[in-house]
Amino acid sequence: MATREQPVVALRDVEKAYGTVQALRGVSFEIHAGEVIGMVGANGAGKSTLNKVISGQTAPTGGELLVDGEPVNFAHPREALAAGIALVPQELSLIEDRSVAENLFLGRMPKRLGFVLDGELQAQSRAALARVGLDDIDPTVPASELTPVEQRLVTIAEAISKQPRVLILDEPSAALPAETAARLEPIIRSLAADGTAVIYVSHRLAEIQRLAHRVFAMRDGRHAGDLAREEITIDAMVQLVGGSALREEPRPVVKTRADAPVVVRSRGLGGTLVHDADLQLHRGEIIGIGGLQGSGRSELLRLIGGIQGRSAGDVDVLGGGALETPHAAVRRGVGYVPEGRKAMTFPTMSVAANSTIALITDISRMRTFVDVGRERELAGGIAERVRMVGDLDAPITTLSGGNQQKACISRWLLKGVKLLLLDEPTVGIDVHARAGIHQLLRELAAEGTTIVVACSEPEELVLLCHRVFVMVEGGVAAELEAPFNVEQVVAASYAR
Amino acid sequence: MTDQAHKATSLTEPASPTSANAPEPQRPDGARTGMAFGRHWIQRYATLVGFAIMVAAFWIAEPAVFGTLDNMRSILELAAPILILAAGLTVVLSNGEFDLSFPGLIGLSAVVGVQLMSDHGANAAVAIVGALAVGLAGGLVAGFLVSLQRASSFIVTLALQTVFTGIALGLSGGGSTIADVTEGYISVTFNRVLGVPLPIVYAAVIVLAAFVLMRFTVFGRQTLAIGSNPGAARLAGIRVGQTRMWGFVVMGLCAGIAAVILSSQTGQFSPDLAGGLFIPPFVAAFFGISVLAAGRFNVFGTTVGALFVATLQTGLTIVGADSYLANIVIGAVLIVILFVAAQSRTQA
Repeated sequence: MATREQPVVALRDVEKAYGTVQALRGVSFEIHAGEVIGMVGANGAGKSTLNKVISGQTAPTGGELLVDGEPVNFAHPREALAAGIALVPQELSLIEDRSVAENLFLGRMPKRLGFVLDGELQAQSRAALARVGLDDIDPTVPASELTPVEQRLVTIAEAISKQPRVLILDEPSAALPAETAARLEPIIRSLAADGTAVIYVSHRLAEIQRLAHRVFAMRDGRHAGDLAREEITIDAMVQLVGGSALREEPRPVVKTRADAPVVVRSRGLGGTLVHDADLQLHRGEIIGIGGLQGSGRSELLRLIGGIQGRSAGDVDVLGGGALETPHAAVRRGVGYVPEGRKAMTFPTMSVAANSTIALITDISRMRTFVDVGRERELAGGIAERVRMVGDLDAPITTLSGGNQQKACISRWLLKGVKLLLLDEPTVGIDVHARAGIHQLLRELAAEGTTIVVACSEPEELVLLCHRVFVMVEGGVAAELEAPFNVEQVVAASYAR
Repeated sequence: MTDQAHKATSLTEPASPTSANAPEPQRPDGARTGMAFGRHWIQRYATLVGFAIMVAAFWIAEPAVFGTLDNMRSILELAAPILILAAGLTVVLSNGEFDLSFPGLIGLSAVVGVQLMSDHGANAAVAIVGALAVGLAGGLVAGFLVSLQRASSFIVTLALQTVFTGIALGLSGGGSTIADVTEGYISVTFNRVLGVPLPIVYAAVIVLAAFVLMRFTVFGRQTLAIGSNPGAARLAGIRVGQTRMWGFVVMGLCAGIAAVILSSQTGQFSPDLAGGLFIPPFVAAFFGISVLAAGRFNVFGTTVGALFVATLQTGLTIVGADSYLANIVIGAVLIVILFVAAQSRTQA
């Protein structure tokens, strides 16, 4: 990364307005061959817009874009791609019923006389997959048969196989559990070593700290500052992203559980992967379920909540025995928030309707007619309580990820659940929204709600939980009680 | 609480662009300012403008016939059974389900109602109750089978269509016309209230009821949630299978009401009673998705859609189009509307 060289891509005072919303306000940026730039900023700070300008997905409304020092105007992402700029979007974009190979080489398959050269295609696909560590994937299977993690890696493999000079990864790790996200790091390092310029957008600051040569921070559509390699620390990044006050304090350890009533008690609980889980959870506790991907974290959560049927053992929830259906769970005061907001939101319904859906019967006249005034009042009150920003009458899809998550959690707060089960509640959410959700969960616990969080990030468990069960291969391998540290969680995750 | 409520209303105002939490714009591609406004307008009003152009075209072609009050009344009268069926269908479609069995159920309800009079000497009231009961029962059967979640409602109701039609043929002795209905039964649709034919009154009542059901009741809200994301609905504690089943019961009742109106209007049961009523309710419901860019099935849009399809059918008749041509046109219109609806759904 010799700075005297010409930057591969440079922006000069770029502006971008969407109607009256100014998404970029005079941003200048440059990246050199072989450089890894970590791009940080809160949701809505303008990171995605900036990358869309660079990759030709949207045209700037002011300023200029230079490639190799020459001004360019991309009318279409194809033109950016021809100039060697590839973007891996935040959302998965695979065609599910097409083979992995077809997805990888869509629109550029090796052909002769109009016929696809299948052997060649498979060979190239295997090579592309090997690059991201997916050696064991058969390129002829449909993309739908891959796990979400593998699909994510395939989209990255697709971009890499185009051999771009500039590779933009927009939150590549957001939907990945921490241990899989770590698999991306050597790939990115080797790309940079080969001279590829990489723009790496992430909310996971630890990743950026490990990977980036330079940090480029955005705030409110402006360039908020840079950090050189030796200046990159998590504190410094947090400072740039949104000021010093937002650094999250580790939770105070509250020792009330010994005499608190038992909310969940299980004995020998088992499902398809989980086995012999003995748990005792108390009122007002924040319990973490840690462990590697595939260790049974999520399944244990679902078994407690009656979302998934159990195959062995017994569990008592709130003194009423086991829960057999989600309907029964809701009636008993148990709320479940699945991983991924798409599993939880009603995209065609308003923010208000999304946050009242679980209690719509309770707030209706004669349990039949929706009391629209009451609904609005409750939705407005809870939005304020969880500090959610957005139009209550607009479809929920107009909210940012963090606010959508808050609207979904609101549903259970309004319902007044006594036990709240959350699977990866802060995946894909920026540091501030994440701190906001942590704060909310702490307040709820203080009011007596029992909270169980399945989470792949040891840092988050340390920050949030009073007690953590670490899963290994379906069994509870360790129970850690605060104060514990990241190293203990990691060590327990790899124990046999 | 009033303080909270007051603050809540301020949340509805658009966040200022300078707010740190301003959501990132959702679909930032291409030029958005002037053109985007144009596109937005087109999406809201395209199908309504199409409707208006069609009315204008028929009016210009046959001003002496099409523009008369009598013609308006006959369009509405033709629209009545379509409106009723489309309203029921909207409930089922909003659940994310399909119903292809209602034409068969109309035949079955009608034959039971008419035979109660012809073979058992029942009066009109008993016949009507009988027909409606059959409609309800048929909807319950369809809903129950669908709620078992062993097969898609598309296939289940396709099979039931054949079953219902078969039973109706069997009951009517191989599908002969039964014309022996009471005068009271005829008067159920023949009379007028303040000059408005009764079928139009019934349709208005049903449409209003369906609107209230979908917009203002817990059932309607839960139905919308299931249609929007069935998995999330289940997690929110909604009984998905049960709610879907009641949707089919609503549809079945609507089929029963349509059966009474149709057999009363014609004064008989005939095997082709529901002929021509299979496609129009679907046209109406899918038209409704695009009205004002609603992006989902809704009773108001469906109502506009039903009026659209009835106007189209009447207009084609007035300009002297052959019935085969009308079939082709309505089928083609459904395809166009499906495309437009798909567009407004992805954009919503």
